Amino acid sequence: MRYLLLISLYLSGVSCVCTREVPVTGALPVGDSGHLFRYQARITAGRSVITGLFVVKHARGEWRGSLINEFGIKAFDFIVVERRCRLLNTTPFLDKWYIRRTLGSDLAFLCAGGKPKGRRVERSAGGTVILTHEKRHIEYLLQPMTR
Amino acid sequence: MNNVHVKLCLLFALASLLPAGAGAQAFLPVADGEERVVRERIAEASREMVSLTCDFKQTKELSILDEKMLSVGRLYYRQANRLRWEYLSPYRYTFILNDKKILMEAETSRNVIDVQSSNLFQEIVRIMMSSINGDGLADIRSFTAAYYRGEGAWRVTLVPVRREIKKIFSLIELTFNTNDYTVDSVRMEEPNGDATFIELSAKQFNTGLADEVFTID
Repeated sequence: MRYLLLISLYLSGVSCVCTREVPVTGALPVGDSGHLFRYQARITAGRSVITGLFVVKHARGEWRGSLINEFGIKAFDFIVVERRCRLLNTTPFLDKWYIRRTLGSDLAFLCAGGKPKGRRVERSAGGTVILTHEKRHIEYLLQPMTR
Repeated sequence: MNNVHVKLCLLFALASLLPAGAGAQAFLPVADGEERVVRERIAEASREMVSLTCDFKQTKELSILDEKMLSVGRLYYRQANRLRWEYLSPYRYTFILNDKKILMEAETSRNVIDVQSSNLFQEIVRIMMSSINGDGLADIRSFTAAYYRGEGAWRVTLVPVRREIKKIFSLIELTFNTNDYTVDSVRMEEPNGDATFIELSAKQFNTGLADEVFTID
């Protein structure tokens, strides 16, 4: 009986650790189905920077979004389903397999959560989201646009 | 009765199509030799345009989101490398290009970056500036141009030649009015069919825009 108690305590401890390490949901708000969220975005990777408008919506179990620059020109589209991201229409400067792989997994994590794997998320009360991919030295800064 | 109903429906459908047909401007290829005239007039207008202030309306079609995003704002341009692109609705957002620096400012954020830190930015800024002042027409290495004439307007379609630009745009369509030979609208089509349409209105030329309009601290 004492061992059972120890085992259950051990298991509950493990589950607590898992809960901290694996966020169930992503960092972005889900909102009403089909509601469009708009963020001013800045993605910094070393000395390279991409900025623009990050638009995303969640409906029927999937996330769909796009990063477009200030003049409306697209950097990429994406669809996240079950923590898997499909990047579409990627601009040539980002259309490299290693960039697509990192960007896709970061977007999936941002939208749907999952194992952090060297990533850290900060959320402010105002709705700003910062995702830092420490291993790859990439920072995603998303600041909600207000009317 | 059924027949009458069908006829009424057809009549209604035709009537609803008429205004769209009437409003759409027909453009035909320019006559031989006119291309040179178009290029020269636009280049001349571009040289004379020291500054431009105008309103803009931007419509962005995003098929992945099944959305059309409409924004309006104000544009300030000054030769050679100064641009202030200010969204007023639905969100306030300001983008300033001042030579090699860029400022992006929203109500809750402010970011300054170096143009050279982003290849994408350099290319897009170059194309946007060319679209505003018509310089794109002279860039024969990057685009194949076709010229069309409509009523009171010229239209120039630019098809990218360079592989990298082709992946961003399939077509850029510039419409110039024949009063002052400046750009009235820009339509940029992407390879997947999405498009951005920017209309310029209430244009004011050479009003002596102050440095403060483009200041980046």
